[in-house]
Amino acid sequence: MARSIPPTDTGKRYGSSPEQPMDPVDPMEPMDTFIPTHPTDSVTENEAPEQIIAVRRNPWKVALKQLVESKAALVSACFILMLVMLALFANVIAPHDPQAMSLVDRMLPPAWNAEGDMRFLLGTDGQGRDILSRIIHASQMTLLVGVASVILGGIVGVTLGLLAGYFGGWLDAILMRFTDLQLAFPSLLLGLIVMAIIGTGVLELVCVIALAQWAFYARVVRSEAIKTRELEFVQGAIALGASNTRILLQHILPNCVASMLIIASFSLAMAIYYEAALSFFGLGIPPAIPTWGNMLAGARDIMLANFWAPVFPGIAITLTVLAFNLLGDWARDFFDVKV
Amino acid sequence: MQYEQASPASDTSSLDQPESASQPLLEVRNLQKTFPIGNRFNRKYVKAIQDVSFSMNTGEVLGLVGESGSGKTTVGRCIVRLIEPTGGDVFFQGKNLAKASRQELRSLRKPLQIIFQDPFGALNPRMKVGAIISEGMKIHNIAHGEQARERAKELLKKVGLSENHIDRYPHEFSGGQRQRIGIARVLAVDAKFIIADEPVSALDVSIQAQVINLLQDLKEEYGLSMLCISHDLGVVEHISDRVAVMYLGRLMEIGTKEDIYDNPRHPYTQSLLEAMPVPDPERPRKDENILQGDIPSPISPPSGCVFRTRCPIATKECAEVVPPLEEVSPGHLKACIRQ
Repeated sequence: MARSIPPTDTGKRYGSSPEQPMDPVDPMEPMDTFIPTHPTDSVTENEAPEQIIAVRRNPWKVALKQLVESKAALVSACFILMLVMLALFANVIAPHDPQAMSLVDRMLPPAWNAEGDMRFLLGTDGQGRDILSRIIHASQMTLLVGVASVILGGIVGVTLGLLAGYFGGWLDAILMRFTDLQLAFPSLLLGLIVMAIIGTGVLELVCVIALAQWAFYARVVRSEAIKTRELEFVQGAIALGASNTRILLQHILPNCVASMLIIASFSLAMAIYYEAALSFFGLGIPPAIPTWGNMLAGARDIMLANFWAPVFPGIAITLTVLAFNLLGDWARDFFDVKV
Repeated sequence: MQYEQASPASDTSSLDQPESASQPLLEVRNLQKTFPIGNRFNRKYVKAIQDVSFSMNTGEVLGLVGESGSGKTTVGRCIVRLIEPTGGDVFFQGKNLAKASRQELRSLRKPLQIIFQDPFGALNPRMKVGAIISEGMKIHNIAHGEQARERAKELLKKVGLSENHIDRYPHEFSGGQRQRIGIARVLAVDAKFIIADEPVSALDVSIQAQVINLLQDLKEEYGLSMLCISHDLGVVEHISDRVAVMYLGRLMEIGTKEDIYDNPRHPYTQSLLEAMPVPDPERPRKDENILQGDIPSPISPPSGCVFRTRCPIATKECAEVVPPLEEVSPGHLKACIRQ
């Protein structure tokens, strides 16, 4: 049953003769010409990455280049940039004081309408307040509430999702049952109940919206964490002796960024919708402060006579939600893991 | 015989290995792992490894071969406790890893590192090469900051890459280059014992040779010991000093490379070697000893000798007793009652 194999000497290099890899090497043959194990020899293998490195040097430039290439994302980014500018410099940009009422000028149609007034570009509402100025000022509160609640909901949801997915077991079971509970309960109704108990205000509103959103993050991040936990680089980090904190923050969290961004983009859209809805019910931001939701709610009574009063804040909501969704799509592709 | 140790001496530390004349670097004793599957009403157990024992000395390379599903990878992972063994002991440098607490394990297994099969999953796609290599140095306080970076550069050169690869991401490298980064990662923590889990199976044949030669060079330079897990008999024959053959979670035969390849005593080893392609068109084909069928399910392995269902020389007695590992010549053991 003995199978004859050639004697192996320790200096033999594997695969050095491609036709007969198991045969002893001709000692006259310089083996390293075939097997580049030295840096100088492996030049050919390294050429391709060398070209990438020029681009790779500045990730911001790459991001900008890809953004310009994707038209929808570019338009969305410009729109969001404009919105941020409007919010920051609302006092300078807005033609009127958003609170200034003028009963003479009430319910004016937009300027291009025959009955319109050039002073009020998008017309006025039932109290004679300039709709354009109110939309501009409302962007402050909309963005603030939206971003703050997305961040708060994100922090809570991502933390719980990471813990549940990474540690598993009873912790996972408990946290996920809470998540199920949260997802099963109509969040608008929950928001109404909580707002009725803790009262209204900007901070309260942010907390309520975050409460409606954390479960989405927790769910998705948990499944990402479970997936990533089994990957070999995490196993390797455990073998290296990395602590749980290190593995979670260095290895698992960064690999969840792509899905977090998707959730964040639709959460932001949802936050704007919640803010509008709760304000519409009178439980969100006090009606005196202009928000797009408050404007919709205020225009409810005059909607049939003056369609523009709710239409323009509605357009503002739609465009903003759309822009964040499109940019989120792009960001997901950009941050997607390259393997 | 090297598998029997003297009776336990009075222990100073609970993890100390019982004293013996010549202490091997690594000793695995009666290692077992069963995975529960199914739900609590229909619980079944996959017997991934059963009663695996072997030992290794410093500077030695042990090849662990077997078909898919034979439990070779599980053995490797149980040794570093990436998978918790169900039973048995793993003594490394005289300390029992299988009984160590999580905290003790972190420092105990520092010199015991693992290289993975999949070069795409083994490196965190979100970390730069420099961070990947220096992670272990930071964890074990070997080097920090600029010092760690310098050392990472040195290691990159050592494994045949260039030092300006340090700021690139894993996706910019080819499979072979990634495997080199994986090797640099374990060298960074001064690994003394490397478990190479199918280190070249995912690579092109020409690249396989480079990586194997690199491993051999590094082994000489650093005096590494290696457990090389592979299904590729050619790779194992080239790199190993000794070879262990596994089938369905049990060791079938273990001995020096010459023992196993020139004088295989177990029918399973014999048919494995028969099936090994020999690049010689003149050689007559010997098909009669090729194994038929698949490896049986590890949920209900055959009674007695696990190989008997596919063994050409099995008899009634083979179903009755589990054949013990018996010495055929010094250091050459087989688990077969027939030959």
